[in-house]
Amino acid sequence: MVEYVSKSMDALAKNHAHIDTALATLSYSEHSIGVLALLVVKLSGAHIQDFETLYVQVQEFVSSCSEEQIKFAPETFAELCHKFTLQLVDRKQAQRGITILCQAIRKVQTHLALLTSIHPCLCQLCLLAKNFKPALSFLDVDITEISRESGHYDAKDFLLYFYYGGMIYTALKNYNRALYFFEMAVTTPSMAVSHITLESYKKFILVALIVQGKIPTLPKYAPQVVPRYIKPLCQAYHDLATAYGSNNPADVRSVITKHNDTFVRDNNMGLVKQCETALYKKNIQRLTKTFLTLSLADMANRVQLTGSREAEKYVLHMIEDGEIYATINQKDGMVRFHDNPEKYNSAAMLLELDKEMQKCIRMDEKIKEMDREIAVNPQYVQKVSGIHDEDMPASTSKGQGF
Amino acid sequence: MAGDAEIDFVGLSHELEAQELDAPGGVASPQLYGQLLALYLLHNDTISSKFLWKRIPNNIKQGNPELSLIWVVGQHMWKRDYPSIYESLRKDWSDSVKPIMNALNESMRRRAMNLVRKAYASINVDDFAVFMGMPVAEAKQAAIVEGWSLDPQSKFLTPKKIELVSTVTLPNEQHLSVLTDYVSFLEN
Repeated sequence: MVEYVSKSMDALAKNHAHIDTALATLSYSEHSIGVLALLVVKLSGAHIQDFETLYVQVQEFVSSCSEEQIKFAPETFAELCHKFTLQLVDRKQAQRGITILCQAIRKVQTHLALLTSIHPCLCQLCLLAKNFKPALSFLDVDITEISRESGHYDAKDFLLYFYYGGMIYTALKNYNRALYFFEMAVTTPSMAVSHITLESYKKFILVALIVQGKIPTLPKYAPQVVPRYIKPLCQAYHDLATAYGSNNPADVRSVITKHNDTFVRDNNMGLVKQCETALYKKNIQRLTKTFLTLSLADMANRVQLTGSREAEKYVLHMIEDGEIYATINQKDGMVRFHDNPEKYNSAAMLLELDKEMQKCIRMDEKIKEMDREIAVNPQYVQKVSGIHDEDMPASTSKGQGF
Repeated sequence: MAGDAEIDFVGLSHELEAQELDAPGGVASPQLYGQLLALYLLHNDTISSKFLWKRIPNNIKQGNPELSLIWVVGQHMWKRDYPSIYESLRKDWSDSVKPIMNALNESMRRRAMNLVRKAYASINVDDFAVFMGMPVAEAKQAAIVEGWSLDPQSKFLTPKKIELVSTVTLPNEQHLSVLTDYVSFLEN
């Protein structure tokens, strides 16, 4: 059925006008594949007259189609979602597609940690609609498998998922997770430069400055294209990082003014401003390593704030956000720094530890499983035994006949 | 919404979020927006409130001045400007958001008190009154009720720290089974 349908896509495109009649005769849940093909063709049309009807048709289809049948045509289903997203984005109606795409992903996913090419479409709609919560239920799950979609799954989808995901987490100020996502986009094995990787790298630098105060060294498995081609294109960001390393807010501000145009053009000015505030906080945190108590006026001097009132505000906000452990004494205008009061001996902490250990155990099982799968893969076995042959031509090859 | 007591604000906000996504044409009613905006502020979720404000269409913002008033509270909360927060909360709210805004006022006071308790070893009475949005005498009273000590000459309050009570416990058999899991995992 799937082959027949894919061959007749051209014929369907030519008979555009009759598609609605055909749709009326088919049932969404029983003839899912047929309906799917018809809808894709409708969405591919150069000029869509009646979008509202098409919207309702797609909505009904996604909620009532049969998962069994869709499993045989995953790439067509993904194409439906892509084209649908494009139409909504063009018409500036991103919000309307969110629930539908959430449903679509759930129908296609055989398990929760499966990444499909529909994921980045959902993220894109959420970003444009400025409504991020629906995407979080997908982004918060760690991916362990990618849906092949009959070979149509593209690297672009993978990179976009992590780039958009990183942007969503940055907007929600979950900087640690955002950093992880941008790092995934930047360390994807590649031979050529991708614009997505370039933009991810810029945001990676900025978020790293906010979280860690410096650019972390990329892991060993990061592709060579990054330092060779992408780094030279991000000079402004590297300058900012160097200025940041000096811990001097005046230096940082001068770099920001110097490269203002670049940052604004890249739509990264908001993040850059957050880097600036983060520097003051970093400097205050560094003071805790040297001092036990400090006067507010002294702190304001060292960190280059305008006065003790402003210093008090910064410290108060950091205490509220849990970024520092301190108490302010207004009577004598002093701040006293404490150690983390967590003694790690409560039952609640034990539960936390337990959760983390369970995650590690599950991860270990997953890796063992993946290792087993590769070990019995015929291509791998051939390659391994092939090398064995080259090394020792005289001896009989033991690898074959597994 | 009938009585003030025990309204499930969390459940209500989930409901409203789902309704917003399913709204026809992607645009929900002004009442929904008002309630959801106020609920985000009540949960101290200023980030969600900022994005909700950004996605409300301009014509709805212009036609419903109460929405802007709620957002003004949000803006002050974002900047943590306590006097302005209490000032902007002192409005005549419509019935659909009144219970939420009242609860917000209460929770701001509680949050402020907890923060002062955590962050200050001693604080000026005037500053404390500003945090609480009350006149100085009332603020002094509230502090004394909590067991804080007041130094009458220099007008400084010393907050009383609360000892944290941990209530979570694990039954012993579960402890044992969890430990056996770890050991068997480490052995393999």
